[in-house]
Amino acid sequence: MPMTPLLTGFRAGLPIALSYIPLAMAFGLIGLQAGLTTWQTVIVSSVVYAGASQFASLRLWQAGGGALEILFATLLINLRFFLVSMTLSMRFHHSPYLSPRQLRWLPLPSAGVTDHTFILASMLPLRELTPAYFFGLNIGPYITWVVSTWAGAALNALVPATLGASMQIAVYALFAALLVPSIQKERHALYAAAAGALAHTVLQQIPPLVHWSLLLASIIGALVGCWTMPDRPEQKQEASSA
Amino acid sequence: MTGTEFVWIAVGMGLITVTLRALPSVIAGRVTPSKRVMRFLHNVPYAVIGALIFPGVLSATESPWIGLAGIAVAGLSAWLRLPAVVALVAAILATYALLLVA
Repeated sequence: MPMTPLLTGFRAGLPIALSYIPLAMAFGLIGLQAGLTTWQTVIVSSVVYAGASQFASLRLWQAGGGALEILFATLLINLRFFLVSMTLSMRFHHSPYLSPRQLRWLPLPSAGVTDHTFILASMLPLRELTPAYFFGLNIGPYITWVVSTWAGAALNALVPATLGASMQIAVYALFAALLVPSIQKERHALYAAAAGALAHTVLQQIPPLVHWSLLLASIIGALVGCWTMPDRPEQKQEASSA
Repeated sequence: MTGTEFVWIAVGMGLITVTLRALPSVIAGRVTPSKRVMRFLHNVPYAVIGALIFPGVLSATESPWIGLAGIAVAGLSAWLRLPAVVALVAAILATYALLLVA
């Protein structure tokens, strides 16, 4: 893999990595409280690498849930990765700048895609989007997630409570920072985001849909975005602006 | 109920999750989606961000207003085209200050 896109991607991923620190530290801490050892929390974070499902499964396990129940919940919570990874894979496979040889690498970085690296990669101009860039983008947040889980479990008594609490805003600040430039460019981005937000808020109030709410809200929001989007295909738009 | 048991469950969780993440990159090359599907996929990221912000941000800190203020600082920084790291640090500091005075 070429070095420069790898490094460019790695640098682009640093704000995302930074925002994962408080969340992963919180998981390390909660894992300890649930009866895991420090190293067990680290193993969980490195093999699962999906915050929402890690927190949910820990809660289910503490409540006496069995393996099948936990695995099914994981499938529901993480089903959105299929949607986002498919969305991004379509961008890669339809890029005029990539050869089949480059695309052979795609499953490797895709295995580490998150909501945030997906959003960043889907807003990148097609010309810059390569599997090497995507690998660099994903590797920093992954390493940070694992190391911060360890730090949260090992150093839990050292972080002042108020500072720890204020760091919970990091992940939301990151979302805002990713969304605002798109809204400045495309009005329908605002409608899609607002619809997704509203749908998620409502669906979370319906108990049987709790684990599906993020996936369903994403679909509803994307549909609203479609309806409010001017009739211009994405590729044409990008090719003319490139 | 030992931690080892949970680690084995987590290995299963990891297998499920990595399949959901990597499988689309393999099958995406074999299908040609319609224009309509591409329009839908183009809007997925915006919808996902919106859903991830709300209602989560309201319970991110001890008061919904502090959470909203924190994210507003980040949004404003991004509107002024400051780098994402700056938006992030500004939001954390603003939230920290509000939590101290609250």
